[in-house]
Amino acid sequence: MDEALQIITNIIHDLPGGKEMGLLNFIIKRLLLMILVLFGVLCIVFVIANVIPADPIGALLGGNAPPEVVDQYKHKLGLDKPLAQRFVDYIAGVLRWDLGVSLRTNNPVTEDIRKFFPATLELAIMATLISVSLGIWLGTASAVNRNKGVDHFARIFSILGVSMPVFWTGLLLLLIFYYKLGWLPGPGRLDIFIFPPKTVTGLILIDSIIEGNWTAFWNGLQHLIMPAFVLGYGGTASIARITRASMLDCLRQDYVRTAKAKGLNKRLVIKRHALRNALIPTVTIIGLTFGSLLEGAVLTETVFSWPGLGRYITNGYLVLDYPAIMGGTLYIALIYSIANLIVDILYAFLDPRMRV
Amino acid sequence: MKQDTLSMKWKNFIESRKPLIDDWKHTAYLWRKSKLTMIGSFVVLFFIIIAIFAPYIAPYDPIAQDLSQRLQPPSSKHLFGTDQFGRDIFSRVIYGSRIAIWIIILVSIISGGIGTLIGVFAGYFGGIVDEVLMRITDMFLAFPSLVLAMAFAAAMGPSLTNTIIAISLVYWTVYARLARAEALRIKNTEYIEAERAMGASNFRIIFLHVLPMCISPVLVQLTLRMGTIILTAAGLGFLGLGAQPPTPEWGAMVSDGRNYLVDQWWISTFPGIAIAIVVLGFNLLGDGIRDMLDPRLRR
Amino acid sequence: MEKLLSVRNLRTIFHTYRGVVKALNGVSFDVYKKDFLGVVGETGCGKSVTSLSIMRLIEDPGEIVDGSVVFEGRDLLKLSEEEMQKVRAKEISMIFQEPKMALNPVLKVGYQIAEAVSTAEDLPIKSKEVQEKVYEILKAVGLPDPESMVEKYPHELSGGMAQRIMIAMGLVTKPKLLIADEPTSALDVTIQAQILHLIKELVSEMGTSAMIITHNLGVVAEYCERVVIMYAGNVAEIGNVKTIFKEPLHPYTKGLIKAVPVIGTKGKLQTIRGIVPDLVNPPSGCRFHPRCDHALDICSKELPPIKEVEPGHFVACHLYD
Repeated sequence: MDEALQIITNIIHDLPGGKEMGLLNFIIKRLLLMILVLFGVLCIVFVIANVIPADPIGALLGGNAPPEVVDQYKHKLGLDKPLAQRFVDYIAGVLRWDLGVSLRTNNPVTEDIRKFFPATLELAIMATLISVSLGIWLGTASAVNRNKGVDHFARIFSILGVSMPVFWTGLLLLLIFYYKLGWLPGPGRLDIFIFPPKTVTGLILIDSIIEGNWTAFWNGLQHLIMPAFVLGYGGTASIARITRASMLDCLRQDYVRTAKAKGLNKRLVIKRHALRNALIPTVTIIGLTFGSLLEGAVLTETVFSWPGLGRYITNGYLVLDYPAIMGGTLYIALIYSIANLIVDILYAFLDPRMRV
Repeated sequence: MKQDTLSMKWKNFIESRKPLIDDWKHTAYLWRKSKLTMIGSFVVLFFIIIAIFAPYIAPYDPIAQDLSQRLQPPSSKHLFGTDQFGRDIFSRVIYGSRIAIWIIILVSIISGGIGTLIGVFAGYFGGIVDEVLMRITDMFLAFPSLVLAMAFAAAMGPSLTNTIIAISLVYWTVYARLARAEALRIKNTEYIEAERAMGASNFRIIFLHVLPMCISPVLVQLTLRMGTIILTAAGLGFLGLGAQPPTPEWGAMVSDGRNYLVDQWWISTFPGIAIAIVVLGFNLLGDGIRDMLDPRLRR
Repeated sequence: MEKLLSVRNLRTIFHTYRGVVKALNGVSFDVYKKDFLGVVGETGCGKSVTSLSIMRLIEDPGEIVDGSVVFEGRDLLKLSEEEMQKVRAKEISMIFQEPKMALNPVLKVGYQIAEAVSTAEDLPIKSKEVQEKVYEILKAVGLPDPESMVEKYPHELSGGMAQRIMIAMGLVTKPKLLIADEPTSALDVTIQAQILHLIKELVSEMGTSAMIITHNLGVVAEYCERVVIMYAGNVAEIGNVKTIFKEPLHPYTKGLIKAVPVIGTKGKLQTIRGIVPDLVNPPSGCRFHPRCDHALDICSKELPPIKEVEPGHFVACHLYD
């Protein structure tokens, strides 16, 4: 694990001038692509919210609402305007970062997002830390000890991770560790009687440290552990699997044989030659894992009553709160795209052959 | 004399197919050698059998309520216990397998079909067609799968049919990319050039030649994805965006049991175990298939 | 001539789904000091497996099951892994067939050469002495502008340049023996000549022995002094290149030489009848006997021992018993 971190640090230190140009061009191209894709995302979200639903008002108010109320609502939501007009309004709104007002909470959606997103972010970051460290370590150990005890254990552990539904694992752990054993606290980010730290980043752990509020830090950590582990378990499995496959592939390559022929010992061969190459697909998977974290977050937050963006959106879907649905989904797509962009850049950075 | 020619013909046939037969023998060897793959295959087989013979295996009607029997723990009468409506959980789990298979088959066909067509068109025609189709694929890929499926399911109204459509609308992208890569590769083979030189029309080439060659990798991917399809469907069911009650969909069943989790743990647990086992089976099988087909891992 | 490496009765097998492949069936030959030895044979005859066995780079599902590889008085097969690593670092170097695949794609070539020195001399890779040695060897292999060459990645080089890098990497440690496994098979014909020439020049300057593995008789004829002919996991004939080409003794060697078409002559291409044997169920006795026009009764029963028929000329054939 610390080997992997060491390598990443080495790689960053290896940056000479010649690399930069190719990398810069690549980054610019990717950014432009992302903007184009995001526009498409806007269109898709609009279609989903406005074109597909047969009768949004009926769904909101029930079938027997009096016509005047229906018309009133229609006007309020702007649904009496023609489709093209609504699209333009929508785009204009997005560019102003005005995503409408939630029908459920009656707050501007942007405000709701700002309130709820940090909780999801904190969960996702913790889950990522768990999955990356555990995953790379398990995957490497597996590949190096192929088909021996460690490998079998790791593979079973990993494959269970990608097979068990996230919400079920969460419920099970809640049942065991909270309801039956009482070792870990229940739903929510903090116990009710703890004073939350002043909001700086919205991440409770960070804010507690900034304020020096150790009670909040500990309590927050305890609340965070279970959902983060549940969320990260699937990721651990994916990362371990890919690291193992990628490492096995690398160990088979000619350049590994060359390294051995030069007299390097096994540790060095793995560290200097195999791992660096093996991590390349792993980095992509970490990016993909982050995406699955975002969707896993939706389920995990529901199970653990975690006040994050996932739960906000789910509640929105259940009552057809269109502004919330559109805004929330859009936001998630934005974050996901940025994450993918970072992964692509990282990939090009690590593998000089990719800087086309 | 006729006997001779027949046995000679058979011999020639076997000889000419020898590389293929050797290949299959090797595949069978690899399959036998990997215990995990075999376990996966049997689990999947088991699952399919249960789904087919559900009415004969399930002791009770999955949607029949019996309020005198509500919230019973697992017993010899009700193997998995009963839920808050007195329905037998074991029967519901058994019938749930039918729903799961139904979802897998339909989603695979629809998403595989759409994806392959789009991918082949993009790969074969290249140029602006390729660019446009690939950008559209990127746009769909900009959403995490579950989130997009949720959006579609919610907009269309939660139901089993809409779940299938929603998931298909999300998963076609994988097959599109794959089919495109294959089409690109095949496009430049001499075989296709020869076809073109003979004057075959583009559509003829695509449907009779390119498409069939793309099917094989797509099929492999379809198998690999089956576990994920179940998980996504279960996720939608859990959130209430999937099949509606009283349909015994596994994800929805887990959600049903949430309020009774502490004292009646069986309502949520058994459907969850069913999901885990089936997905595990598909994953093991998929891993095995992938290992077997990987030319670098074959010995 | 002094012996540098003595391979005796080397047996290596591979476990596969079809059974056990008996790749090396008792291979024996010597490499002398300042030798330029060619190891020739068809694909699958075991020449690469031999060199990998010498370096002890054979891995699962392969294993070396018998024999000895005595290098400067020590049996390499009996050394511990650490001691063998030292041998690989300082004493014996090996270069491979496809240079661009044999080099690590994400590391600069300068680093990879420096690594070889650093491992051999136990110096830090970034140290001045190591850097100087790298520049020195780059010049020696004929690569211009060493300062910018060390910054390049393998995919930025042509095949010939990459192979020069590999040669540099192999010779920078001034080993006693250089094993080159098909060093030119992946290169253009014109580059092939340059590379072989370079290898020959450098090793003679350094006093290094060289073992060139190839399937190309032309290469052997042009560059090598001695040659080992291998067939299906056994040594068929060993001797000086001139002698072997003028008076081949083993029927297989004769067949090989006859098979090379001579420009200016007419007539059918000469082949050796039959096909290369299956090494899971190899022919009994002498593995060549099914294809041999001079096979005796004993050939299908006993493996012929290697005999020195004239000084420096060895054959493994019952015809010369």
